[in-house]
Amino acid sequence: MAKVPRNFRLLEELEKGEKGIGDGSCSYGLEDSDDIMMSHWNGTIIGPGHTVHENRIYSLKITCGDNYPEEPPTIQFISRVNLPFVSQADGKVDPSKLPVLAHWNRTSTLETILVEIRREMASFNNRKLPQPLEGSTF
Amino acid sequence: MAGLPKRIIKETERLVADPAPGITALPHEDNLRYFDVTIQGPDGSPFANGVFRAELFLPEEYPMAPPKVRFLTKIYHPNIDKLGRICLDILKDKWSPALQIRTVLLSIQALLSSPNPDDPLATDVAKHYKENEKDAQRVSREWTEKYASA
Amino acid sequence: MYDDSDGYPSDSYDSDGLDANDSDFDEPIAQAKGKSKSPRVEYESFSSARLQQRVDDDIRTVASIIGLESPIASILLQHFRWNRDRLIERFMDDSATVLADAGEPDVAPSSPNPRPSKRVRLDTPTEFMCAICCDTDPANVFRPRCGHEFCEACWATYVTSKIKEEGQCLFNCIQDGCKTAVDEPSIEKLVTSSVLQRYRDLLLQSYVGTHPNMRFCPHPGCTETVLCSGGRGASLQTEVPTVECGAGHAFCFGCGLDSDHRPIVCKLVEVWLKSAREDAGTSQWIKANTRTCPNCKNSIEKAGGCNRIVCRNCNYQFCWLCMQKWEVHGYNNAVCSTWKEPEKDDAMTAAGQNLEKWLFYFDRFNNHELSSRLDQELVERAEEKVTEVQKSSDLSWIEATFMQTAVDELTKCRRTLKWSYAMAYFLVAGNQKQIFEDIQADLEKAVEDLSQLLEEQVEKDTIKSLRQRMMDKMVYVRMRHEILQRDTAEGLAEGRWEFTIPLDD
Repeated sequence: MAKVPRNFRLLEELEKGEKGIGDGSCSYGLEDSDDIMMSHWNGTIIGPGHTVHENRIYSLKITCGDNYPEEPPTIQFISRVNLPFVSQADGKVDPSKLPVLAHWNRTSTLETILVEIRREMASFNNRKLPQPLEGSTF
Repeated sequence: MAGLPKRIIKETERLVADPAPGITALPHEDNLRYFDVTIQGPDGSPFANGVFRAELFLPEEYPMAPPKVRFLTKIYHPNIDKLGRICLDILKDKWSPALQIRTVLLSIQALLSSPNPDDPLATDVAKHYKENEKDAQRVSREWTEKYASA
Repeated sequence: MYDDSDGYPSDSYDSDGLDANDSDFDEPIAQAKGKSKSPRVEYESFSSARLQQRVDDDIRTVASIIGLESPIASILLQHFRWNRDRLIERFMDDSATVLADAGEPDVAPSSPNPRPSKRVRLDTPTEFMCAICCDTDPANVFRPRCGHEFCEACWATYVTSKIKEEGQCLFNCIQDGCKTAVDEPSIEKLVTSSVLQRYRDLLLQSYVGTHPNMRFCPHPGCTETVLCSGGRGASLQTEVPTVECGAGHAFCFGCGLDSDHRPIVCKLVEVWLKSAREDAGTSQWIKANTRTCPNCKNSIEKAGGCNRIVCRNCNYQFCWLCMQKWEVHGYNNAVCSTWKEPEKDDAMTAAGQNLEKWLFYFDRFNNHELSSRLDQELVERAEEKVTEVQKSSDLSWIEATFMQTAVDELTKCRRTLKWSYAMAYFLVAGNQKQIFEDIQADLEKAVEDLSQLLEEQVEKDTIKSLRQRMMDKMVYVRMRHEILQRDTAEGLAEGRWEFTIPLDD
């Protein structure tokens, strides 16, 4: 099977992100539209309905290293959020605590990560966690 | 890489043995479907004397599906965007399995000589080209000197 | 067959036989005419063979009028998005241009052969080498009508990938720059029978897709197509164009949902389902079919569709939905099927209120889905007993099918009730909503009564009376169902309902 190199893989993801994914509850794009190495990304998650996150908009920073997609990107929340896998000091996501990062494989994508994080927000244990003031940042 | 199709082997051999003028394409050692490419700016164009780096990938379906190509060197051209993506019909719906890597790269080189501002990918550059071609070409030359000097 | 006097099989029990004797059940009784029925749309269902025939007829007709082979006529029709009349008109005007636009080779004497491409390709100096795979000695070479030869294997891969991967039924020759479409006889020669079948399906899809009044039956695996004159555009705000395909699958012609979603309109179904999908992960607990007895905390599993639950441990009776004691509850639906707008309470946020309102209706919506399944399971168990009893009683075989008949009726009603809760969620509180919920509660009560009868023990000496009671109840249920359908449909047509979100954006 042909192995898609990093840059073409990220281009594919960018195109998918530009078209808009799913119902629009997660989105992502390049931080800087002329970042030719496509390393720095912004992600947005709209809090799932019927949870404490409802109608909140969360922004995250995603960084894809040279070895992406062999290695997962690093994720950092910009918006303050209380979740077990997010450091309350700086918003960094602990990859060992988020299954999609802990058990990373190259077929996972930036979209998968955002959707998984959103799913975590809606999980039974997290949907009612008390949250910091809406709109605050790390 | 196991089972590289005969077609790709033949094309690679010919690209190395008999390169098209002003074009180089070298496969990566660890991925024979992934090529490092350089394209010389055509004489008489604002891109003349520039050497533009690009990358090319042959997807699994090649040659039934087109190769993927992108510039890595910044270039001021109405059909090439900030990320080096190229708007060229044969890379999309006009692809034919009878075309090849060589044909594709030659077509891209030809695109540098004849920009098409009516079918733009970089709309701001296209606007510039349409409104003041001379000034736009000046910027293209500046960028060539700044980013693509060999 | 679609029976336009009512939606039900005419051999089932009829409401006119409310106080009649048993034999009425076996006789097909025509619905009394002149009775006000809920409005229906006009439509016709086509089997895939009949649809194929319709398409073939179009192609043949065009071929004979313009004097070309059918495969070419098919290509031209696709270029004209199956607009037969426009194609014929344009062809009569200027056949050369029509053919050239469609990429036909050797169009007119003035038009040259496909120009050789200026683009470089592998040289073929001495012997044939397929320019696609670089094979110099292929088993077979295929030459289509435009003359571009490649080995047959490459042609087959190309055509197969166009059909299977890209889902296209109209595509050009492999050669770059050649605009000649690959014709059906070539496809037939090159691909496997399953790919050919896929090609024919794509052709039908292209035909139905361009036809504004046609829709495929959305039921998985169904091959019927419905032709319906209405059910589009603004009329969807005032009607729910439910149709039934030739294989008996009810669906909505307006939005294509694979279920009869009356009484709620398409737009609100879309909003509801989107919310429900959102909630699927978060409301898992609602779907769980176990709850604990409010009296003794014993765990209870719902075993039938009826909401009246008797705890096996302490014999406490309560309602599955609101968990209140049955005696105070009875089938007083004011307690349980009507959402009460909460008093304004500063402590409760708007989001919290909305969540509770949503959960209230969503729970009831889901419950009917669950109950339908449980009713069916219950009846499958009971039927065995009925068959056993029937053998030793004087019931005829046909008379003994009453339980399944009752469940079929229940299923229909529960589907309507289910969607009626979705509709109630969107209704603005007020008199109209009150009336709607009263009608809904009447049906709900009738349905629960009938559902409860399913749980009764089947015994030899009581089966006749059970059957009679069930039949009577079914007649009543059917009447309540018809009232709800009619009233809501009329309300839509009259614009009587006021929704919390606009229908026209």
